[in-house]
Amino acid sequence: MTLLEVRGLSKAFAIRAGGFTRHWARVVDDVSFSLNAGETLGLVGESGCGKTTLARCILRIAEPTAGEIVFDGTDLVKLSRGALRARRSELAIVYQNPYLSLSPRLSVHDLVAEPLVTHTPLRGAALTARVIELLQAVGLSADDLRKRARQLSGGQAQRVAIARALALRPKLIVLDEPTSALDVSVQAQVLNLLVKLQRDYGLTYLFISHNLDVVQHMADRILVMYLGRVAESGPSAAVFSMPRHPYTLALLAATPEPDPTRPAPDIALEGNVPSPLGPPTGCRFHPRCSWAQDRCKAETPALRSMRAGHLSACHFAEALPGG
Amino acid sequence: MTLLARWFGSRFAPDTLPGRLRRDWLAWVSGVIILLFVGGALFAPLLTTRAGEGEGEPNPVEKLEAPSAEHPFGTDQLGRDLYARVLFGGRTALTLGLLVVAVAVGVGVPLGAVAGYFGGWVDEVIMRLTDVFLAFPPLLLAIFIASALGASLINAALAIAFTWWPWYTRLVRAQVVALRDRPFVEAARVIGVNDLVIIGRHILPNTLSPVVVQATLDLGSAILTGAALSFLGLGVQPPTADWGQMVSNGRLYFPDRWWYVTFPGLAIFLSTLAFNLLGDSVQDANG
Amino acid sequence: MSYLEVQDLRIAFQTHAGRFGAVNGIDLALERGEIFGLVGESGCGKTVTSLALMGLVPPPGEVTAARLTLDGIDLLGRRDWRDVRGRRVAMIFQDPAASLNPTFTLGEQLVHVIGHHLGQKGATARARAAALLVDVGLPDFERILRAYPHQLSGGMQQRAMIALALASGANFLIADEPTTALDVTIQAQILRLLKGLRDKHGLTILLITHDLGVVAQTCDRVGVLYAGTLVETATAVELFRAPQHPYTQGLLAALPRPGSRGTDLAAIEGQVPSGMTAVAGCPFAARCPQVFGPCRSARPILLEPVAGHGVACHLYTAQEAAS
Repeated sequence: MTLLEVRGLSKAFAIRAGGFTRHWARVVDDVSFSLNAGETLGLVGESGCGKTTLARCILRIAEPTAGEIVFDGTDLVKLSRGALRARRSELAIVYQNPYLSLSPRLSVHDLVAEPLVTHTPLRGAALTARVIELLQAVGLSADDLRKRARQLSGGQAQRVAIARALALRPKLIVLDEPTSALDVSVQAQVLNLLVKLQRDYGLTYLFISHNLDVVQHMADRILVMYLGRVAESGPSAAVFSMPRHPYTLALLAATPEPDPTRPAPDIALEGNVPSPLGPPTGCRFHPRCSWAQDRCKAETPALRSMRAGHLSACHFAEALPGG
Repeated sequence: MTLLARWFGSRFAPDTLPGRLRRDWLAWVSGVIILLFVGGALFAPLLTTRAGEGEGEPNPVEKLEAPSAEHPFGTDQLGRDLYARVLFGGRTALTLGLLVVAVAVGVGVPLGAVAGYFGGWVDEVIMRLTDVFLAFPPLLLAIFIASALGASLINAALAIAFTWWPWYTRLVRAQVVALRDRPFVEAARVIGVNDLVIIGRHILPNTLSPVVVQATLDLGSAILTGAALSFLGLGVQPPTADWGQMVSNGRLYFPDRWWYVTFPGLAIFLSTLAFNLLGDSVQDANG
Repeated sequence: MSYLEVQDLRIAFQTHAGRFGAVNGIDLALERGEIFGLVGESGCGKTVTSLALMGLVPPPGEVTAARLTLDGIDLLGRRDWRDVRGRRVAMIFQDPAASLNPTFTLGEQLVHVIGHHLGQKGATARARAAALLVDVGLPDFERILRAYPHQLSGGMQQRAMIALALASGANFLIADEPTTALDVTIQAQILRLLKGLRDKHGLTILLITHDLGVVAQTCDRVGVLYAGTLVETATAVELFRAPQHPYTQGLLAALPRPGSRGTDLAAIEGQVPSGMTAVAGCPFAARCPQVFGPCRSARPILLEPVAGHGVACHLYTAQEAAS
């Protein structure tokens, strides 16, 4: 069953360039994908690729410029403010840095209780009991109720953020680099917890990360973004074993593996990510792509189906190595 | 290096505000002076045998006497004990100061929070309004308002607060603008928390420190400005004791009866100074 | 004699809450021209160790050691660090934007450093600045020399920072998480650059990182720090092939990898000790899955059960005694 279907989503920011001239930065440009209930979609890409903006549009914290976000049957873009507020209990987010995303002056109790107070009539002892239940579900205890976020370790604080996201049993949780600020040993604890919660509560995750190993561990399906566009998408196993876009190939090659005997990456990506203010013509990746031809400069590649559910936006997807 | 600084900051800096204040001797001195004034004002009737004179009863047999064991600060032209008058004048000064700050904070902080949080035309309207108020010379505007409303303690306080709230609006707005896009505010919005609750629970508590500093500094300035209004006859009316009014009356007998201006003047000076020093210390301890 | 020799380095901070031991007796030896990785999680003492080599441990830190020499020069109890900092040792950090002066062009900053340390002025200095930029992979040096730091991308800023670090003629580079703030494709470029500089100029590099992948791809030898102690040291190949210390084994097992999906990651339970309370035995004892008798009472010393592979763990102390 499809829980979330995004169609043709775009988000452009106006940037004033002095006088009356305005530039439009298309940070998300015509992105479409769907996400099934109970699945994890991994959203991958480097800084500036638009993955966080895309997530903010889906949560309706940012206003999309165009497109539809069909969530559980209704288009969130068309909802009024009041109707949207009522449905907020079905969506939740966990941010990268819990020390920044948890109000510094509130206690753990008040932080976890906030969504419950906002959307349910629970109060008093019943509320506290529910908060303790949630804390136990994420591996914390009632001893932590009175603490502030800064008195907790990074892993514990992130657990509080997860408990808060979990409080209303949302249908979709956006995980925006949830372990990137954590140490390796703690990252493993939090990833295990997220997997367990998904199994126990049938949660659907939109998992944003720049760490391909983490995404591969978590995601059923992958969406690779480059400069606001979808470069490649498909089942995790297919994308990682047989990437069909030069950018995915380069990302995989650049990811340092904990194995010194692995030869140095041969597909070295030169140059920097161009600015979304003046994106390259045609395929946005062509200036950094070692397979680029004249056609790539002129013609924007459409997302094409390679195999069951595996899409690539490359003119020469079939000719890439490994195929 | 910022990471490192944060690392050390979290582990090694003396972490509580009271902790840092305790190590600052100026905060101690100013705190003691303020406690003396507050204690003096609260318990004025118990600290003098001449409470009646402090409240204004004349004592024509002891007019304009020099300081002595009986009258440590001397007496005024109606024979009232100046020590008792200064004690009771402290009540006026502190009441006025607290009123001014309460009104200015009560009006300025919510306006600043709303302007900063919502932005757009709301922000534009509120901030232009503060510009208008800030364009008047404060003392002149206060004089104008006080004379229009009539001279009394409450009117003097309102007149002063009228010109001061815009500072709180600006202060809080700047803080709120810096806070409103923080992840923890966005997180509350994702949950669907009401905007006013977000402002009250998530944003305002984090703007408190600079507001407390400003309020402490302003308590001193309010006492000083209140004294100026009273000096001009626009503040508290006799027979209620007031430091500004006492200086105003006493200057007619200066320098022969030097004590009449000196002790109320010292009270104004010391209380204003103490609040300013304390405000600075709180600010440093916050920094 | 090694290029850098550190014996029994201890760094402690006297605080209001008591004495905090950040580094509790570590031994290191770096050979000329090698890239040595110092790995560990946050708070393990890796950064403060590198600061001790530059005399930059902030007060109230106290640095003591049995021996601390660089290229035969004694660094212990030194008051005048001018001929060490910059001239012999240079340092680059995680955030290059914060380390570059925003108000001067890169040309001005480079020429200033060259003039200060090498006494070269005018055209000679400018020519050297240009050569340095070419060296760090910024071939359009004319544009870079005139640019202010904010006009460059993060990767270019880090390259410029490396040029600035080398401008003084230092041949020992301390790189503290140099790629943590960068995207993976840019990270790969910077790591390749560091290796290239070592090969070309015989630079010795101390690479501080939390990322085991970065270590595996870049370093010749590795030291693993835990709670201010060196628990294991070996060549990168050996360390990843046959990790000896339970902490190193735990760290490697905690990493998500291709194929780990569907399985629980082997998280190391618990948290790093705070350092405020002196631990009598092994600092890892509280979290160690193989803890036994002596671990809680005696601090294990670094032994070499296999030549060139040091490990501080009682599992091996017992072996040594038996043989």
